[in-house]
Amino acid sequence: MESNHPAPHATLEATAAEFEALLQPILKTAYSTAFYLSRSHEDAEDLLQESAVLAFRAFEGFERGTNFKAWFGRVLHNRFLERVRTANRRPQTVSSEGDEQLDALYLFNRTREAGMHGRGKDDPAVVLLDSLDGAQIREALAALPDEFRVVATLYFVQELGYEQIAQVVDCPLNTVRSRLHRSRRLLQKALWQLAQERGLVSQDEAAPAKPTGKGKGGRGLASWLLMLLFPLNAPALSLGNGSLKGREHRATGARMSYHVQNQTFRA
Amino acid sequence: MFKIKLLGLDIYGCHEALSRLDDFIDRELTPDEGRKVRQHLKICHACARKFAFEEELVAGLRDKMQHVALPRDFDSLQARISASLKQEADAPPDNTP
Repeated sequence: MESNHPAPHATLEATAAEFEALLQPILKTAYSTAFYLSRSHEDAEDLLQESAVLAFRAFEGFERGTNFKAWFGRVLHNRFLERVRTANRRPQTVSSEGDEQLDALYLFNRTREAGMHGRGKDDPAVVLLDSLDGAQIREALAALPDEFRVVATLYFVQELGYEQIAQVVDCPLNTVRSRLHRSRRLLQKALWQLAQERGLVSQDEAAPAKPTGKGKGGRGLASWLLMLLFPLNAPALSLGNGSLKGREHRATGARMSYHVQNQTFRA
Repeated sequence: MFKIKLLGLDIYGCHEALSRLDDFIDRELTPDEGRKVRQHLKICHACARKFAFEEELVAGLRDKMQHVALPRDFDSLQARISASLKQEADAPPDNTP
């Protein structure tokens, strides 16, 4: 294949052209990746530029026809680790045993508690994400420890599968799998905190309050009594219900219909 | 929900389906497991809502993260990268790390 002799200038230029032709289509995605790994646009630019040079130097080692995006991702990731090391930052590590009670349905449950689910309502996942801009999404990512942020970024931005991610981060497949699942849960938690801070959900509803046991809408016994005593003024006496717009009383008991019922889940 | 046998076939209950939620989202289940999960989702609206929520969340995050605002000078970054590569090609360094 490639000889180890130093290439003549003309051939090296051709190689550079070949490299750039491969890099060009993935550059924006690579930048997005660098952006989420880093803490700023400046860091992201430096990371990307350094990685491009390093990748070019190592280009002879790239097997033509294989996945350049994953290969470049590996260079990018290694450079990221190196920069973290030289910045004397101790990489955050989270014990995989910790926080096991963070369930897979964290955000589903929180949004349900907040009354965001219901017939006729927009999809709560969509509502939540629409309320957050790109910078806030990045904030949520930045809250994750490095190794979780890395796999989440590779998954969402580069759309790599388990095996490819495993190649990039040089970890066993099962590690990647569990790390990715956990990163999604951590991300759900971070997103919810951001949504609370942003006022999408009022603090009352955000707290996972135990139902008072009386009204399904969270009305206490006191407010029901008051409503009985002062029926005409009942609306004015609603207590403690949050400011979430369009909240549907959960006492309807009606079967919720969702468009998802007709959705086919792809294999 | 208990694992039940329907017409002699194994069907997943809620627990079997939900424990495979992450892998289902990642399309990493075996075809057999995937089929059983989908069968359960057809008959269980509660689980169907949960799965749909997670799918929407993942798809939405993917979309949002891929559309991160590029810096105003992305074009100049591209130019700088091209220039760096040209520099490498013109004067390749010895293989110092």
